[in-house]
Amino acid sequence: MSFVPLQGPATLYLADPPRDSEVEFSGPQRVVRLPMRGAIPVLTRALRVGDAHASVTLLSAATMLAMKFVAAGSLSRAEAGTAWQVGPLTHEDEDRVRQLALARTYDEVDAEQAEDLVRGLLDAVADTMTRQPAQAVAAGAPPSTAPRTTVAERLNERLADRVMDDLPAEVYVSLRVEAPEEELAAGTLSVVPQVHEVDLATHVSDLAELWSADDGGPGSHGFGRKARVNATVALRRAAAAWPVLDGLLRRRVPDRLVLSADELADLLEVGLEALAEIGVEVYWPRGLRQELTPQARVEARGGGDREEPLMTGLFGPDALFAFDWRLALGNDPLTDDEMATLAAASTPVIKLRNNWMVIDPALARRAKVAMGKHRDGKPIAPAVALRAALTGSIDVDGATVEVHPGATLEKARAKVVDAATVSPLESPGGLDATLRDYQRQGFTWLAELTGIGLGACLADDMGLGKTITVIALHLHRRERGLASGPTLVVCPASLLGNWEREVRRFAPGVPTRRFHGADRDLTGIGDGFVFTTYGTMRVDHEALAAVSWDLVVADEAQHIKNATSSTARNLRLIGSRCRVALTGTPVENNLTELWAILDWATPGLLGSRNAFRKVWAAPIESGVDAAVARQFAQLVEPFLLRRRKSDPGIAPELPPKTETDQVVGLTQEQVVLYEALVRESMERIEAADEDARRGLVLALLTGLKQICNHPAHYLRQPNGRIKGRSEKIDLLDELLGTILAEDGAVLLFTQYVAMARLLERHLAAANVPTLFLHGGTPIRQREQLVDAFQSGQAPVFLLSLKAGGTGLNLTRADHVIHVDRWWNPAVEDQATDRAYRIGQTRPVQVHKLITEGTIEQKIGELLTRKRGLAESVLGNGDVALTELSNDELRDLVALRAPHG
Amino acid sequence: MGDRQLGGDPMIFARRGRARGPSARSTTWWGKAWVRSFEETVIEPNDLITARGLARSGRLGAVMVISGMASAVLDPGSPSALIAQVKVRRLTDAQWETFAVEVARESGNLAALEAGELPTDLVEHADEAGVEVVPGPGDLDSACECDAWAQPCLHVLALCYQLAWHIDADPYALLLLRGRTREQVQDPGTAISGEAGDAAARAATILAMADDAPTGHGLADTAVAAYDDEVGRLL
Repeated sequence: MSFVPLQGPATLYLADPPRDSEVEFSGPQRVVRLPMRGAIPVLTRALRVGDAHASVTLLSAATMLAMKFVAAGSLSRAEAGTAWQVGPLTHEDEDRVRQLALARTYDEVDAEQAEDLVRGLLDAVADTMTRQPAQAVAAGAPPSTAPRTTVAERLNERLADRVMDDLPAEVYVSLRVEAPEEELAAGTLSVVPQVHEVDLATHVSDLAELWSADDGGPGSHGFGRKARVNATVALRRAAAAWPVLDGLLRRRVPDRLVLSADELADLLEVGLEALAEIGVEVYWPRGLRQELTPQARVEARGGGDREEPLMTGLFGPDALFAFDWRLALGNDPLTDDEMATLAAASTPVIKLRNNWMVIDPALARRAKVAMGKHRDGKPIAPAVALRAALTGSIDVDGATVEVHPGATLEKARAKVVDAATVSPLESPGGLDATLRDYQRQGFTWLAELTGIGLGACLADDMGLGKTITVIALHLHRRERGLASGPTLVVCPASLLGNWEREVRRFAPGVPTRRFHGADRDLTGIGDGFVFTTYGTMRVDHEALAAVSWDLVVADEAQHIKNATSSTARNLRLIGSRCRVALTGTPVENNLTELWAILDWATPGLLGSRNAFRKVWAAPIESGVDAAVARQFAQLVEPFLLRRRKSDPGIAPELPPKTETDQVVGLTQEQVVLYEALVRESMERIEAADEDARRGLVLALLTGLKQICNHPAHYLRQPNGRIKGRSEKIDLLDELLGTILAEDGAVLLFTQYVAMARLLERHLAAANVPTLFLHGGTPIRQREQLVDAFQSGQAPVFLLSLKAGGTGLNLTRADHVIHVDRWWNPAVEDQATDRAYRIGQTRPVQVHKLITEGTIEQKIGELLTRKRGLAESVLGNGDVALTELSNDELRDLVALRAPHG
Repeated sequence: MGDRQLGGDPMIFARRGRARGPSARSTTWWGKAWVRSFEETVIEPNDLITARGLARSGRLGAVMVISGMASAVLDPGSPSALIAQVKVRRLTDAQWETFAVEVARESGNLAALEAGELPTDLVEHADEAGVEVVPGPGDLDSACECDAWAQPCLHVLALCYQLAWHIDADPYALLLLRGRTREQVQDPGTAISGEAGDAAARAATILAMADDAPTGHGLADTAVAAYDDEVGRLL
């Protein structure tokens, strides 16, 4: 490029197309005519040359303006041909053109001429800058739309790009809920999308702000140019999660979306969760989303008004409870009217207590259900109410709801939970015995539970005195005037005698009656105890159900552990004010059995059998959920009291040795054999001489004792049927069942090897391991047997030998059972002392099996009554009895009718 | 979407190996529309089957898309390598402006494009306004180094089939064939398109240079000469 003179006049030669225009520069020495491509570099720098000619300055200024227009994209096709031109120009742009022309006029060129020059040059520059001719304009092509902004603004914007590109563009979106009064009144509200800087969550702006930046500069939001696209992409993801937001993407500027009532409901039901899942937060105005919490309450009907005395029988058959579900604002429950408003609302937006609130539709629906069906609460069974109080939850329409007991129910709940630990009641006055501390505690526990109409299961170890505890309860209920009707005890036949004796002994004067045997009868039952067996109860439940019992006691309640058995089903048909189950076996180990027993004692507490299996048994047995087991314990514990002999609080209270006479009846077979033997023998004895008489008497006594043991024993049937012929065997089974369940060990004494063999066979059939030691056992083997028992190889040790002999140390045994009587207390004591001796750490229980009304019982009474005398008389055992006169003997051996 | 580059100009799609299994037909409505367009230009229908096989044979190299054109090399690296090209008529600036107006009508449009979708509504509205985003048969032209007399030849058709896959995955490839990069589509206010856009960029550069232009007269002034030379190259 050669030297171009700028001090002389310059002339613009316009051409068509404008790119072919030329500029002629002149100077003192030379004239240079340049095409546009040559002239433009010169003209872009000429403004800075101080002494340039006015015509050069005008063209130069026009060139710079043209550059600015082109740089701002202000280029368009000429209306004809293939030329480009600047424009379309806004009014402001036009002004600039005119201002420029006006400012750069000079002597030879007036404003109008100058403007023509400028306009001509603008197009010449524009056409040159585009390098290539424009495409021919297709017919019907839409006209260019005029730009909304001036060239200056657009240029500024372009220059600002550099700044904006430094601004953050990595963003995420959130939604802000706006709730102007007029929208709330219409049941709607708006969501406004917001944009956050990824690295600075507090840098937030309405998404719409990113659009307003179109009007110039980077805007006040401080986000980069790319932020807009990134934000809309994020918004699109949100719309994929909750499609209602599509409405925003449909807008030119996603500024706000008014949600209809349905859309708002949808937001609350699914939208919030779906958005939260992809990390889109929703911000609510303060107060609009106040926590409305469901409050489920269970309460006695008219609860709160009841006074303490009415606690009595709170859970009785007439008790009424209601389940009430309502919402609470904070801790303040909604009124019925407020609940009704909420239930009737057709939009989640509700005005409550003069405040607008947005309610979850699910809550509103439940409110509707709650208000619809049971305005005053849904009536529920007392047992269900109790269960709810104890577990803190209730099943409503298939869903588990957290529930709070009302004041009355809470008081009852506390009473139930504390029943086993409250300070013990005084022993009732009529009780002719002193209760041990734990017995008083147990009695108090029973009194508390039965006092509010609940049942209970006392599952203490055998020997802890469950019978006397129940007797105390019986007396207590009368003392307090709670009872109306007699107490029914259902027990195995073998325990009838024992119950009767214990009641007579500890509550003398209390009427007792057996409802058992052929001549059973309930007429004239007023008060007191009635004893019956499970068998009798099963067949005669209708007669029993006709009595208005105060208390029904199921002794050895494992007899009803199979709830589908007719025994269990029929027992349920016998109504009473309250029920107590007694058992010595650890029922809590088998949930189904536990259910059967507790569901009898307090019907409905554990729910139906199927529900129980589903809700409790299955989860607990599978061991998956420790929380379920814990909750179950909360539910069951108050109704189950089980103390072990070995419990630290119990053991010191127990005497080292407890002797119990276990009185059993005779079977029909035994009665026939017994009476026949007495009849025949007495005839022969009365006719016999002195020597023969002695032998006959001994034979009679032996025979009677064998009959009392078992018919097979007397009849010498070593392989004869054992079951069902002797109550001693039944009782033995009961005792052994409990002892083995307690993990105890027992010595089983009988005078007769034949009886021991029968027992051995019987126990073997029941898979009970036994050891057997008798007089013929060699010494060496005896020691082995003793060692085997002491080391726990078998829980039952059958012994048939006179005590003394060798020093057997059998301290593993905590029970001793005398199957038959020695009639010599000293001998019995020695036998017992095999277990109860130095080295024994546990209390020993001694059970003496005595057949009722027989020679066994009569001699037993004789021994007790006249112990001193008896010892001298009976020192030699049976032999002394041969000295009795015929009448005395007849009196002794005659079968006495049972008490009745 | 593995192929998405979200890029400007050019977009390069890596060579596809030999495809097995069922033929990979286009899966999007815009991809299918593209296929319909170029299939209409074919004289011998059997060529389409052959071309589809060729597209899936792995013999085509990387596909390069630039504004208004796409090309690929057949059997790259071999002595018989050929360059196949398809040219697509670019939308005019006025049409792009109209398109930009349609894009801006709904804020979701750009987001959809970013997600690899070409919104039906957008294309329909643009169509109503006289802008056909998907090129018709008349908008296509082909060139190939082979000596087949019929155009488009098999090589160009194979290229077009492959383009359909890429367009499926990224509609920005289609828009680039029509003349605009992703950047320009996203931000039409700054990206003045085509010739005008070019000119604007150069004009901006010249303005920046003019700020520091030498003030001498140019007589034996190397700075002036260099300046004039620099600016001249931008014209």
